[in-house]
Amino acid sequence: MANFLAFSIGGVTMGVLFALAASGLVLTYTTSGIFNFAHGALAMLSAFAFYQMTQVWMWSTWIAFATVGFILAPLFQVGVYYVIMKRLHGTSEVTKIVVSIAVMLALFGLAQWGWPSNGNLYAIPLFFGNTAEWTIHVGGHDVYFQFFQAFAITTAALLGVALNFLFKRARLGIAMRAVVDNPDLVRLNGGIPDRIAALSWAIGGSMAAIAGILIAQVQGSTDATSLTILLISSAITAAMIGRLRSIPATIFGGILIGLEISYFNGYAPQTWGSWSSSFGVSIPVISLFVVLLVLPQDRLRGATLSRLRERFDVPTMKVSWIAAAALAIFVLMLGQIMAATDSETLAGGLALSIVALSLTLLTGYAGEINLAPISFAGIGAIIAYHHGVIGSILSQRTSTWGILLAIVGTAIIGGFVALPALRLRGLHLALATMAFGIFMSDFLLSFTGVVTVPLIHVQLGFVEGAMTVPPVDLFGLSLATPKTQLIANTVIFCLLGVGMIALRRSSYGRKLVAMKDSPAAAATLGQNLLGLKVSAFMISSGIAALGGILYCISLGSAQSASFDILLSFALVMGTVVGGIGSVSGALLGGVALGVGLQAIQHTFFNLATAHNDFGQFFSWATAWHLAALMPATIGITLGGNPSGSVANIVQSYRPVVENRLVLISTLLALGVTYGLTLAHVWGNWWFVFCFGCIGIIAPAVAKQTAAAVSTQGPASSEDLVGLVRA
Amino acid sequence: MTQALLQVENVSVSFRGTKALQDVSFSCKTGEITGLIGPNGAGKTTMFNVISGLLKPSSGRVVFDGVDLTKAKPARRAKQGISRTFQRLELFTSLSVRDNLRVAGEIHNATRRSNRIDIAAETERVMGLLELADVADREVTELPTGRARVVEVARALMTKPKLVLLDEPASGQSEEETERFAELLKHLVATDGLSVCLVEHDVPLVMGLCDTIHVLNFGALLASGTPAEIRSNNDVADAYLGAPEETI
Repeated sequence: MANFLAFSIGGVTMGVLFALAASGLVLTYTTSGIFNFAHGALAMLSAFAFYQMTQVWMWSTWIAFATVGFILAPLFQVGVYYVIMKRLHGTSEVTKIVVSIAVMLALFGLAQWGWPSNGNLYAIPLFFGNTAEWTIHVGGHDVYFQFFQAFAITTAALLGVALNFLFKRARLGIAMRAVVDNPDLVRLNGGIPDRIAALSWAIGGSMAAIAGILIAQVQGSTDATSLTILLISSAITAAMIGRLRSIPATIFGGILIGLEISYFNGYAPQTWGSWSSSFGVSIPVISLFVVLLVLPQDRLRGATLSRLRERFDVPTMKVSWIAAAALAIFVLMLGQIMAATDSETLAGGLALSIVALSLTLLTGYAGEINLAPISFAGIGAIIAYHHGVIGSILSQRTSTWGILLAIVGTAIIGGFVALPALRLRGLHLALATMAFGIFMSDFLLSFTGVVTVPLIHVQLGFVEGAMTVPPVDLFGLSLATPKTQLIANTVIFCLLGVGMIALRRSSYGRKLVAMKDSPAAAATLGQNLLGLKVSAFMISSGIAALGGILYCISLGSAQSASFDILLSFALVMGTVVGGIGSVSGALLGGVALGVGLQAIQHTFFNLATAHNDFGQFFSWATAWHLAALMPATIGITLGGNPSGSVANIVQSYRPVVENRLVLISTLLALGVTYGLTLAHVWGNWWFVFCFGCIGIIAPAVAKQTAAAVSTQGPASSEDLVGLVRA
Repeated sequence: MTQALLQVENVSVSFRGTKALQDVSFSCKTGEITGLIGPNGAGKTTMFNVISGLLKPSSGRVVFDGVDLTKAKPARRAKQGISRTFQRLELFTSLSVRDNLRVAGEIHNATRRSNRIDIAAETERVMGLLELADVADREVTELPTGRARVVEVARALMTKPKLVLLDEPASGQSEEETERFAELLKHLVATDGLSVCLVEHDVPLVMGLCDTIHVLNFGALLASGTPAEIRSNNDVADAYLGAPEETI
């Protein structure tokens, strides 16, 4: 009984803090229509800022608390609202989700830079100290009730009541909700929607910061990764229990999760070992999955906006074959001048591009958001590792049949995961896949050791914490060297890419697009949406599995961290930035994640080893974490260009293709650059530099010539036959 | 005596306590154009959602062509021969006009063993019929609302329906376009054996076109009858804010 009471007090304390974070999330969602994935990350970063002030700079606790909670966090949120979120009007759900994920990754990158995880834990002591407490006697046992717990519960309760009042009764709250429904109408009635929304973001930021600081104290010692996952998953779950509109239900949800975690940690048998600690971490996401499934179903409806800003043109088959051939030749030529390790990196990037292709189909065409592509890739790799490896220890190969088995197996698993999620759409589906992804990376993929699933005798898990998937044996043809892997991955990507365009142009592709544009219309025309969704999920999972296997091979040895949910987020973001509806978007997304990020990190890392003495002021050793900021900043720009960047790039090169002279001289210049590199006249860096220069100069020149031609005025018919000039 | 193709029996729908439809019964007869009119918020679109299966009624039955479809999903109803358009446009915005029609035909063919169509030929035929040939390769988002509504009608016709539910097809169309559209509907009913259920605010159109009219008001059936009967019904006149007879 005494234990139960202690666990309950602990659970409620944790729970009200989750509820506090969740209420801030509900507030910003209700007033801006944007579900802020970065909310939990802001809470985490606030906790670290508080740590820095109190533990490193030795500020007074309360001053630090007020500075972070009432100045920094709200200011940050207002900035985020004005600079980023405001511009997202008229974009699709997936763009909104990805932009807030980009902000989340940026905050995470900042935290990793300032307070790197690698094995470090950061301890934040409790307010009032650990021993400031009341003692309650229950049945001959002592139960302690800390001052901190009383403080946390009171703070959360007061803020909850105030927020509920604001929402339900106050003029401001009503104005806030009106802004979401129709900002233009609010403006007509004399309201200033931006200021109202920004204010709600500020209040939401305060609540996140307060919750983050207090939760970090309950955790005792923590790192950025685990704190982020805990805050994100528990806040989102509580907010979903409140169905993103009811504050009281959100508070109930928070307390429920707090108690679940506290009771599980308190009562789970010791003999369960690491299993139980992984499961404890997964409680919020499992709850999230369940909550999403039992939430009342939305009625079928079409696109909420009849005219989104996103547009994706579908290339003709001829164009896509030419593009595929050009890509294959280009990579082949690159392969000739690259070092083996670079080939491996590029091969990995292309493998990730294949994983990203699964998003092109599922999200770009069918409109179903999957935030966990890397988890499906991981499942594929695990199946291939356990069931597809042939040959003796020294010359192990992954058989073609093993790969096919992994693709089919993952497709079936994908179908099963999709089944309960079928009734979900948009944000809800995104959250369900996120829950699945977090569950995979925190629970299933964190087993070190082989677990055999009873009935179906499938083996899971990482032996010795790492997994080495050997190179592919393509019906007897060995693809062992990095160069052959690079060629193989390129060819596979090209074929799949062309196949994807063929699929989009087929009757099946049109049905997918029809389902995305208007499920209601598709259903009333006779389309069985259920079957269509499952099939899209299955094909997509299969593609992800293939990409996952190739990715693992290029990695050499994969850890469970290789399939982390944050990697999924980054891939989804990269693909949306490239253009979620196009194959080239997938190429860009995968390569950006696999090659770009690595290149930036390596550069920083090399700088760190070369200039270690800068450490006093600016630590190069951790600065490579800042690399994570770069893709995030690109993601943030999506508001201005929601169709992705590839469309823009293609557009900017159109003048080059149209102007024969410029086209030929560009190709010639590239050829010379390549030849010089191939002949070892200069190194690869020069190649990259010249290549980049030509890439920038060519469209500019072409544009200039085009402009010069057009200033001469439109060619008249006399002009064309030479009458005038003659 | 033509028989009832669609029978709606005692249908009620409530949204969180608000009764959108209360115990409404009416029928649409084979080979007729049936009008469903009423002031804003009377429950006309809600009734269409119930008939097409997008909304489950809290009580009542929907019987179509002798089959009880009350519990059937939208896709099954489409298979039975019900097709519809939407008041708030639900076009496939990523597709061209032609592909909007084409995918409807493809869905139709994929779900049926018999009565399949030659998609390419049917697409061109329907586009010709509804005068859409000039915009066939345009994106549907580029079209003005009136034209876009016609695309919805064309798409609905691609599935060879027995009954087509048209939700305000004339809004956004000019008077001349509306007249041509009315002629076309009459032609389709006369030659293709199509039956139509029409929700429309354009009262002259409804009066001129429909064989039978049902009037909804505040979710309840106010009156049913021929255009002449409806025109002389005092309750109906009152429902339209006591408007004088001529405007109805």
